[in-house]
Amino acid sequence: MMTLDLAPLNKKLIIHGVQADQTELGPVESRLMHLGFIKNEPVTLIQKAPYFQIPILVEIKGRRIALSLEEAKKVQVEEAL
Amino acid sequence: MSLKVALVGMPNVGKTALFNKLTGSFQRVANFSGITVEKKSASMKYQGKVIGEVVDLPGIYSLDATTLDEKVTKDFLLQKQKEVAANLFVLVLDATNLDRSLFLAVQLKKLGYPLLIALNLIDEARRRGLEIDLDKLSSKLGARIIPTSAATGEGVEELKRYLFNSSDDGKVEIELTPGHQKLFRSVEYVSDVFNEVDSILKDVVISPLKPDTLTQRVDRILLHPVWGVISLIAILVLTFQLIFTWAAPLQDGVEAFFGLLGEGLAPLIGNDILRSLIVDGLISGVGGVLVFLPQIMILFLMIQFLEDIGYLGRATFLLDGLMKKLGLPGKAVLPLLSSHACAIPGIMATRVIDNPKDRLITMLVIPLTTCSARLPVFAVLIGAIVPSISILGLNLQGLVLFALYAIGFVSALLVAFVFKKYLPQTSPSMLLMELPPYRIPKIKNLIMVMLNKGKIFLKKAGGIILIISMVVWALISFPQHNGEATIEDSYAAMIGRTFEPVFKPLGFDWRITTALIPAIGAREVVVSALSMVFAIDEEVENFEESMSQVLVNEFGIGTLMALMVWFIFAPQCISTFAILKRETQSYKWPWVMVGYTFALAYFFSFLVKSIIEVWF
Repeated sequence: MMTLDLAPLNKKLIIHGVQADQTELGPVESRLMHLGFIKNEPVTLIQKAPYFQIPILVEIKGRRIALSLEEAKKVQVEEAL
Repeated sequence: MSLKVALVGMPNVGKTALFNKLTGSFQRVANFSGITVEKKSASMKYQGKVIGEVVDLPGIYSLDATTLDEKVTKDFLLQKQKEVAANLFVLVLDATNLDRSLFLAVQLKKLGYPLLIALNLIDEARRRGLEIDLDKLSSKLGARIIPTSAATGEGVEELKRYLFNSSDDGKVEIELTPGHQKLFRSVEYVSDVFNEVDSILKDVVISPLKPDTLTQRVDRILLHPVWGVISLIAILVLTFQLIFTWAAPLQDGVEAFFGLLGEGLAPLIGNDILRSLIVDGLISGVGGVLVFLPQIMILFLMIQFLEDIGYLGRATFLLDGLMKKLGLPGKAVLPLLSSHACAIPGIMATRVIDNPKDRLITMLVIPLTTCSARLPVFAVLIGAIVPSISILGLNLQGLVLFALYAIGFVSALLVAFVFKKYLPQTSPSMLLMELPPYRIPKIKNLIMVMLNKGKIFLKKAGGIILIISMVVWALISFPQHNGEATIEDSYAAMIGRTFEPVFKPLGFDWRITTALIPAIGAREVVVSALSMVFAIDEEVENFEESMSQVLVNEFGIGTLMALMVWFIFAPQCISTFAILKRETQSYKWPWVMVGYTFALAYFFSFLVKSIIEVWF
């Protein structure tokens, strides 16, 4: 288990969940879930730039989502077997 | 009471395109102006009869709204305001993105909204191999489903017919407990709704969507940390090149037209004063501004093209890191870019920024980006100072124009950085967004937008610019002695001289000062005001060149550079002041904006003039 920002590129990952301290979601967590970051959903890390601070690009349900590093840290993933 | 229909759905599913199809091109689209309201509404006709009103709402993912524009929709749906709720909600679903767009469908169904579902983008979905059992989906959602394509017009007639036959008396009332907001935000609720979406999809999808490989391949280059950034710069440079090169022949045409018009009309008018008013005041004033219509239309065309193709979201992506370093969220990129057309839509577009302080800072610095009204002023000044030579195949004048835009943009970022220091922040803004798939822009849409923007500019030219031109003409032409007026003794000169001491250090004499005053109403009139002050009326044909020549002869490069710098920073027009007042609900921030832009303009104009005078 790791956070999305540390996951390997171009591998099928499974979302374990969005980190939420309480049962109520904050705005970022809420938006994450509505964009499809739901438990057991497959996700692929497409791009992560080590320089220029360009955001992270992932693909989920065939759609491309851009997230900042901080936002990616809120998503727990596992590598799919 | 007549039928009222509201269009709801996720962002970017084609609600507005559908709205335009439903209400037709002959219907006037009205913008309701209020503080939090940014919904559009228009009436819809079927077989020649008005059948009701359609309301287009900002896109939402769910009823848990996080940004200002989403709150507009949420408040409409949950009836927080005293607005009469719609009789029917047309939920627009994206057939190429059912997984996510069904969330809102399930949520609204659970709450008991009377729904009609438009399964939009159906043409694209079919092309990518999607097949679904519509009857099953319809029964699962408890609503009639009409497959539509706002692009091809498929299903629009059927939708209209359905709406025509709907009753308009059922007033919608949704039972909501105070706990609902909490519920919408709970992990359990969101997961439950998504589970339901999944089970629906499992039942209705016969053949799934094929992946969009084109978008994947293009993104590999355009979002690449190195190639992507290079492409971004190339795209922007190209845009500004096109504004100059494509517009040139068209501008010549406009100039020739107004030249002939003036020449043709002059002998027909007997009265001296009337002739002067029409030829020197109206034709040369309005003509001097309309010359720039082609450039402005091409600018809007390019911005719309980049937006339609799906590129502006990518620009946000590439610039987010840089923007954050400077204290602005990546989402400020889009408002900042669109304010190059006009600051007003730019300020409105800041509603997508969730953090109120980031939003305020973005709104405050937007006036520093170069709006299209400044283009005419820059064009004349560049024509005066910069030779039209080619460097590495690029026109030097185009490059200087690009540089001016770049200076404006960079100073917006730097000022934001300073503001950020004085307006401390609590939590960072969200980036989190979906990048739309690339779509080939519809030529018709591009042309419509371009013509529409051109029309708005023409209206402005026919209204405020016409009036200001006449006022400036009157100020220049009176008082008359023995039927003659000299500019030196005119009312304009008196006003200009009053302010002259303030601007003296910048090299602006009373003539420039006089021209700056009407700029508060609309900047583009500076050009026509100057032309009148200098009495360049006879040869509108070569308007731009003759204007530029007179300027160089009269003022020299130092002052003209100072004037150019003045217009990079100069205080905004009255409309910008008004919109900022509306969006911040205070007079404080508009005055802060006026104050700091004036200070910057004054300081840098002075600096540039001094440097040039020391050098030459």
